[in-house]
Parts: sequence; structure tokens; C-alpha cells
Amino acid sequence: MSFSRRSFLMAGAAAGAVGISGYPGTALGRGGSDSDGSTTTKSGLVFGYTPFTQPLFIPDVLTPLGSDNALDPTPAAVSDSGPKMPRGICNDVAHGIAPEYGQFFGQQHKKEYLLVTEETTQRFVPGGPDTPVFTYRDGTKAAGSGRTPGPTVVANFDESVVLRNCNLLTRDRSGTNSTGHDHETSLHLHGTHAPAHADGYPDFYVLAGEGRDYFYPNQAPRMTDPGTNTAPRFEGPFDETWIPSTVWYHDHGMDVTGFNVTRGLAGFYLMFDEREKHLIGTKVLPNPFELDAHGNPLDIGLALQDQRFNADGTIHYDFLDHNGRIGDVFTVNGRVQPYLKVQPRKYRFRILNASNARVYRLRLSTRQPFLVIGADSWLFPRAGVIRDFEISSGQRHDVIIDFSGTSGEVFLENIMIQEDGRKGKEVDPDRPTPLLKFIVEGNTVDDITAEDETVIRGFAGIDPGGQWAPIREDEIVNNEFFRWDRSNGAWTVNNRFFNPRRADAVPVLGHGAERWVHENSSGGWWHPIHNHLEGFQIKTLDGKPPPFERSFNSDLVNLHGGEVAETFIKFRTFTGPFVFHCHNIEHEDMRMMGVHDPQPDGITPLDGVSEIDANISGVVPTCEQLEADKRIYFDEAGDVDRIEDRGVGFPDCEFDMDGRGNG
Amino acid sequence: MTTKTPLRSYAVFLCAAFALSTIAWAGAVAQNAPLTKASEKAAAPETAVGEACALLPPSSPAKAEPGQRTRSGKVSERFPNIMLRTQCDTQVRFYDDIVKDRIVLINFMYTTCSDICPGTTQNLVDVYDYLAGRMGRDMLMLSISIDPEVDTPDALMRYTVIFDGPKPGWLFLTGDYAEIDRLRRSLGVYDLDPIVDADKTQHAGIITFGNDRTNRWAALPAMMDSKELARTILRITRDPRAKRRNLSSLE
Repeated sequence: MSFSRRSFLMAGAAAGAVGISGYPGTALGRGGSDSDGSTTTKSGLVFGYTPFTQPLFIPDVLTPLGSDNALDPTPAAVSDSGPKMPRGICNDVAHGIAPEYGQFFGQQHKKEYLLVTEETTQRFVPGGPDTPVFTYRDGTKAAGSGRTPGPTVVANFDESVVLRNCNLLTRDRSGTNSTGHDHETSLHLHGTHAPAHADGYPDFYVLAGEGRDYFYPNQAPRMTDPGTNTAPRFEGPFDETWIPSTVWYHDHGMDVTGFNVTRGLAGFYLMFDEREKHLIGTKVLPNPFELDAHGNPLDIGLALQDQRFNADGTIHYDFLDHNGRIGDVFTVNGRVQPYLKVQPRKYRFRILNASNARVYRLRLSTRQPFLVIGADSWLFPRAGVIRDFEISSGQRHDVIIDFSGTSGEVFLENIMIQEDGRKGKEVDPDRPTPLLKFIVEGNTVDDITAEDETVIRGFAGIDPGGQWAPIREDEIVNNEFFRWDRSNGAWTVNNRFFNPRRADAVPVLGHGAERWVHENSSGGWWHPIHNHLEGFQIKTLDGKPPPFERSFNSDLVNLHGGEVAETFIKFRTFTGPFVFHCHNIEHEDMRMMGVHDPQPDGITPLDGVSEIDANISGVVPTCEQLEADKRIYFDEAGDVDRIEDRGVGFPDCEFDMDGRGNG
Repeated sequence: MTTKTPLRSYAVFLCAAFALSTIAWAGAVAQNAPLTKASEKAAAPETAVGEACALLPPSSPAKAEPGQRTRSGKVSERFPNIMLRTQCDTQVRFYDDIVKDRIVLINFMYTTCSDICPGTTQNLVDVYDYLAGRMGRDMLMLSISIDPEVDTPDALMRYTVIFDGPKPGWLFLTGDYAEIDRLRRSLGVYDLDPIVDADKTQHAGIITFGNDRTNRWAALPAMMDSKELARTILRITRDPRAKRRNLSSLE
């Protein structure tokens, strides 16, 4: 089923002022606690902005490269040692590409992209200060044209992609890198199924001036063979239960993720498979490439991020506040409290909590329900109706809102009161914070048929063509228990501290399923627990079934204080290492994290001691190769950047310091 | 002359040994060596130990007021510039004499802490050993007592016996209780739950570190793997504008 592909366009220019009507109390957001004790950064007034007077920003679609601007050097050709590439031009692609690309995908990919990480400025309010932000910029567009959120990647299921990410946050780019130093990053595609090399392992940095080729097969894991209780790696039918839809990408650099994400490094990645395209083509779901009468698409990503600004308009970030960063200004898609004109009809919204720590509880001001069709990356078997829902850092909810039968204004509101990064304080329906204003205007259109109980993926064995199936108890081959705790101010997982070179779990790759139980023992804290490589299914949350919208697939479970989540999870296709961690990003930066390293049976795991086989664990050149490549070197100023470029599973090399240099 | 305890006499000797008026950026030649601990290398000369207390510019009692600082957006701006005493019983101002333009690694402890502190201190000794080449030069390790009424400079000097005596660039600090409490909070080492916050041991598990020149700061569990901790400290606090320094401990 095909449908016309057009770029997402920016929402139409504001046409006439619309006053704030009927909003009691402060329409400008809740204050956050001020851990550094300063009293001069109360940014609730947001530079004189009148809320809901700027249009919602909708990012463009990331432009695929063509034959005339293809990646150069080509992917997989970059591991040759050759003349040193000048920094900042992003031909210096470090550490090649995922070994699976060559071993299992024939060094072929169907599409490629160039995504540049650079600093630029952005106005969060019209006429407001030009705030320095980090952006992911479309590599085919002009320098400085990036915005936050970054461009939306539109991917077809099973159409593999190489995305080259260049980090231009080099300190010598004066005027555009206000941090004053080279800045490291690591790109994570959150909620997809990708090789370890391409997963954004925290210390597999893309250093300033370097690039990295991320290989995304855009596939799902394979079906488990019931006889052997094993899933093959690269053959056999896909497990359609796990075909992703709403994925997002963001930074994951170790110890700096909170800063990087706050500063703007996030974007949507939407995957469409045949089923979803069919649902769109048959008007069960709105078409993201069809525009309404206001010039906006019918399917829009909404990235919610609470922000905080200094008096001079720069983004406030406290490196020493480890509770979790809370802002007092509410943005959607990088703009403070915008509006969106909608017709009286159904729209689809991919709602993403892109905040570092704030947990929202979302509802509509009209108290009408949401039709929820997906959580995190995965569509539901059937649509369901919910009045409000909790969404924690990193989670997504895929919803349809029906504006027919409403008129005037509808606000997307947050009714979770939260005063510090530890957790929400209470749900208060009488003190909502409006985030986004929908202005309902124009003709009614009644074309989309999705409603309560509409089959989306369908239940396998129940609905015709049903795809979604629960992981069954009899598939379980192993149990793991993870106790997330606070120890003298530091975070522990099973009483240990995170070590990127030590595996905390070594599932046998493809074998059955595992029961992973996560317990939040840390006292007065909430922790949203996130897993890389695969999502999970929550069987019980504190002994009870989870809420409807979290009862299918997800990759993030928010544990309130003392809660225990029992999850079923599989580990298929790609060998590790991968991380799992709390997604309160300040906790993540304090290493509230563990490593799982799925391996074929009998292979030595990543224990920080044993030799890592380069063919198994990510890309691991030998120390000799690293030395010969002069991949690790100092620049003239004695910059030690490169020396820390230890990657996934890197051995502990002893480099000849004198023999190194700029050559 | 009053009778002093043997340890105190030794301390006086150590503290009086040198008075460096500036911190020298070491331009020492690089050695080809991986990240190894100082304890695994040849024993440091005794004179190096004597530098333990004597590495700061003339301290601030000469200044009546805390140093005036202009607002520059630096993280260190909000640290109260309080007066502290070192284990050598010298007085220093926190920002002016210790933090300003340096790399500092800060942890909180108290000498009567019996459960977590000795293990934490020992782990930090291992971290110190990885970074020993820079300690006392551009980098300082600070252990600040959160029980300052008990932890006199003498008590702190005795505590250093746990790890074979004082080390150059590692200051143990005491002072006024309320001021140190304020300092601790400004460094992000606190719990929002007042009951948890009142328990001193809850603040002993973190090491906070940063580079006042580059304005990069972070904090990590003080008990995590010492080599990983040392590497992270080097990464976060790196300063490309600094001259090539002694690289023997950087691998």
C-alpha cells in the first residue's frame, strides 16, 4: 500500500493573536526546586512570553543521501588506516561499523543519512533570547540550521540504514561551542533492535571532531522456534509482536547525557511496517504525510521537555544536582507552550517525555479521553480508551485525539505536581499545567475509523492476522533480580557499581525468555528502568497487573518507591554488550546502570578480565591495530581526548606514548 | 617549648618542610607507562612526602574578607568561600586557596565513621595513586570532615595513618560546622529527605570533582572501581589548554 510521501512542514505562521482564555492561576508552569540556592533564575516568566502564542514546531524529515552526496568514505571502508583526516570534517569516522553489517548483511544497506551534532542558537519564545543549544542537524542542510528536536527519521521496516553521525562540538568552533571544550557524545536509538556497536554504548563515544557509522537494520527479532525454544539470529520469520513504531534518538554519552539531552540532543525516529502502512492506507490511522486544512500533518510527534533558563537566556544546568533535573518552563518540540491549529477530526500524536526527570500525568482539558494505540516503540494489539496516563522520562505514548465535537480550545495538560527530581509529589486534577493548546477551527472531517477496541496489530490467534502475542511462562529459562538502591549517596544495582567492562547478566542469545524482576529499594525516589536491545512485557507491577497502557510491550517501567516490576524479556539477534539503567538522566549520569551481554551459549562474557573476541562483542580492534591506525593520539595541545576513546569491549592497551602524535 | 606528641612533632616537621609559593604546572617528560598506581612504582622520595602540607600559597588569614569574585557563570561561584583548617593546622579559604583555577576531587568523611569511611578512603587511596603524578600540582584531593567539632587538625592527621601517612596534594579539612554544612549542600552532596540527610554516613559515598578552569564538574560513587574512577576524573577534568603535563599517570 503506498501513500504519497511529503516532508513534514513547519506549522503555518501564527494568524492573529489568540488570547489566553479561561485559564485560572498560573498558566506558566510549576516552579522547580532550586538546589543551588540561587534566587535569580526563576524563569517562569520566560522573557515576557504570552503562552500559546507561538505555533508548534514540527521538525522536518531527515533527508536521505543520494548517489551524488553519498557517504564518503563509504561505510565499512573506514577501518583502513590511511592518511589522517583533519578533525571537524567528519571523514574521521572512528571504529568502523557494526561487524554484523559485514558478517550478516553482506555490507549492504538501503539508505544512508548524515546527521551532524553541532551547537547553534534557538529561540524558545518568539522575540526571545537566542539560546545556545546542541542540535542534530540534517547533514544535507546548512551549518547552524539545526533545531531541537532534531529531524525526524522516517524508516521502513526491514530497510536497513547507515546513519553517519558527526560530532562538531569541537572547542575551536568559537562562537558556536559555548561550552569551551571538546564535547563527547554517543548516539542512542532508543527502543529499536540494533547491533551493540550501533546502540550508543555510553563510553563508545563519538568524540568531538569524529564521526561514527551507525548501522540500523530496522528489523525486529525473529520468532522463537517452539520446539527448541530458541530464536534464530538472522533467518526465519520476524516476531511481529516486536515490530517497532515510535522510536526516538538521543544522546547517551557517559556522565554527560543529562547535559546533552537538556541542551537539545533528541529527535524522533518513526518506523513504518506493512501493517502500519495498511492501517494508514485504509484510514484506520491518520496519515503522517497528509496535511490538514491548516497545513499541518495528521500525525505529529510531541516531545515534552521541561526547561530552565538563566536570566541571560542560556539553558540552566546544574552539574551538581543529582536528584534529577526539573525545569519550571514547559516546552513542546523545543518551544515554550505553543499552540497547534487543528480541524475537528482525529489526529495521531506520538507523545514523548523528553525531560530528564519530570514525570507527567497527561490529560485533556475537556476531560475527553485519549485513544491510546501504542506504548514506547510498539503498537498495541487493540486500541483502548484512557482518561489520563502517567508518562516518565523516555517513555512514549501513541495516541489519537478526536477534536470533532469540540470547539474553541483544548489543552494538553499535566496534572502531576513535581517539585524535585526524586519523584512526583501528587496528582492534582485541580492544578493542571497546560502544555500545548489545540485551537479547533475549520471543517469537520470524519475519515479515521480507529476507536476503542479497534484492531491495530491484533492478538495473534484471536484477531485475523493478529501479530501481538504475550511472552509465555513456559518460555522462561532464567530469572534475574535487580535491586536498585541508594548507598551513601550513590546508586547501586545489586549492591554493585556500574562498570562498563563487567556484565551483570549474560543471557544466552536467542534462548527462550527471561524473567527480570526490578525492585526499587531506594526509599523516596522513583526510577524509570529502561532496557536496551529489547523491550519487555510487564507481568505484574507490585503484584498487580500494570495499567492498560503499560500492559503490552514497553521498554521503560517507572518504579515508584518500593515497587517491584516483574517483566518477561527476550534477548535475541545481537550480541552485547548493552546497558540497562534508570532513565532519570541525572541518576543515569551517576552510573545507575548495569550491563547485559547476550552471547551464544558457551562464549565468555564481558567480565572486564577475559579477552573479548572481536567477532563477537562489538568492534574491538586489537591494540596493535589501534596503535597502527594512530586512532588514539594527542593533538598539538596535549589534548587527552582520544586517549579516552575506549569503545565497546575495548581491551586495555598500553600505548607507546612517545610513539604517538599528530604524525 | 611545650611537649607535643610524637605524631604532632612529625607533622610540624612535615608542614614546615617546604613552602611553595606557586603551584608549578609540571612540564615533566612523558613516561611510557599505562595507568598504573604510584604504589607500584619506585617509592617516592621522602621529600615528596614532606610536600604534603606545604603546597599552597600563603594562606588567607592575611585577607580580612573572602575574595571578591565577579559573576562568571562558573559552578564554583556558589561554593561558600569558607575558612577551613588543614590536617597541618594551616588556614585556607575554600575557593581562594584551594579551588580557584584547580582540579579538585572532594569527598566528605569523619574520623569516627566506622563502617563505610575506611573502605571509601582506601578506594580513594587507589584513585590517588593513579593520579599521583598530578596531585599537589594542578590537582588536589580534599577530604572534608562533616564532624568538624570532633575532627580537629590533629585527629585528621592521625587519620592519615590509615594510608601510610599524609600524601602530597591530599588535604583533610575541618572548620565550622554550619559553614561546612553549607559547603556540602552547595556541592550537591545532600539528601532532600531531612532524616536521611541527618545521617552523616549518607554523604560519605560520593566523590565530587571538577576543573575550575574548564567549569566541568561531575560526581560518582566513591567506592566504584578505582581505575574507572581515575579515568573518568581525567576525562571530565581534562583541559586542552594546559601545557603537556606529566603523562606517566594518564594511561
